[in-house]
Amino acid sequence: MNLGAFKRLLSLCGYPQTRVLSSTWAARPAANSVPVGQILQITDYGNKLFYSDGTLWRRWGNAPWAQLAVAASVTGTVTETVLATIAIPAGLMGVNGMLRITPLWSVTNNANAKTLMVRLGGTSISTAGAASQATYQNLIILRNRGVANSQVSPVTASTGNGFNGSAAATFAIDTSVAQNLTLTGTLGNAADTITLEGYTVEILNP
Amino acid sequence: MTTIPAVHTTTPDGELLSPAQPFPADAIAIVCDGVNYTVYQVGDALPPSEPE
Repeated sequence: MNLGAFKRLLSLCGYPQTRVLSSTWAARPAANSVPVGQILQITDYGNKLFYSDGTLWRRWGNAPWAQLAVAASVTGTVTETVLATIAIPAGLMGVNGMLRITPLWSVTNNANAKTLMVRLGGTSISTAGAASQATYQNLIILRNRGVANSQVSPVTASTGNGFNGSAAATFAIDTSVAQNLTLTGTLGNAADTITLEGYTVEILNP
Repeated sequence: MTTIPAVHTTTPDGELLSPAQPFPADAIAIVCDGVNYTVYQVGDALPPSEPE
């Protein structure tokens, strides 16, 4: 048997084996302490897979960090109400990383005030008023500015992309620690309804 | 169908209602009435949607 045939035989038998490491995000080994290409399963964030590039742990594949289209509604209260919570692990958004959130909302179509908000670590990064509207899909992009605790995004009340007469919004949210991303709705009239129809959350690192 | 209490917390921006525990993975719809989050799960009939 020649070498090529022997290697094919080994591969048919499952060799060489690549051992997938398994750990919580906090207890993960340093990416530079494992071979490049090492795969890591993160047990406390839905068993998502990462691989080492020799410096950082990077997501395996290009799937969104979170995505759901289960309708979550609030009615009967004028208190700001959490309709979705997405956990963002410490340091997953790199120093030049970006958080991209695409929520889809439905609201009672009348003149009463309704506020659709996205918060990271309790800080509002997007606020939209939705009076006299029926549905709204916005795109929120938050970028780290070379460090983990300084961000920039379009003005928080922006309806999305394009020109805006206001300066860009800046934040000082520490993404080196775990933060919750929350999508909330606030009614001006408790008889109305705000529904978060769905959302996509992506974390992009260069 | 299951019910999760809505918890009032105070933030620098004011009061906030949030679920006392994460929503179950088999949720198909969630409705908060200011007191509880009612979670409809696989096999439940969906809540009536609001007329346009």
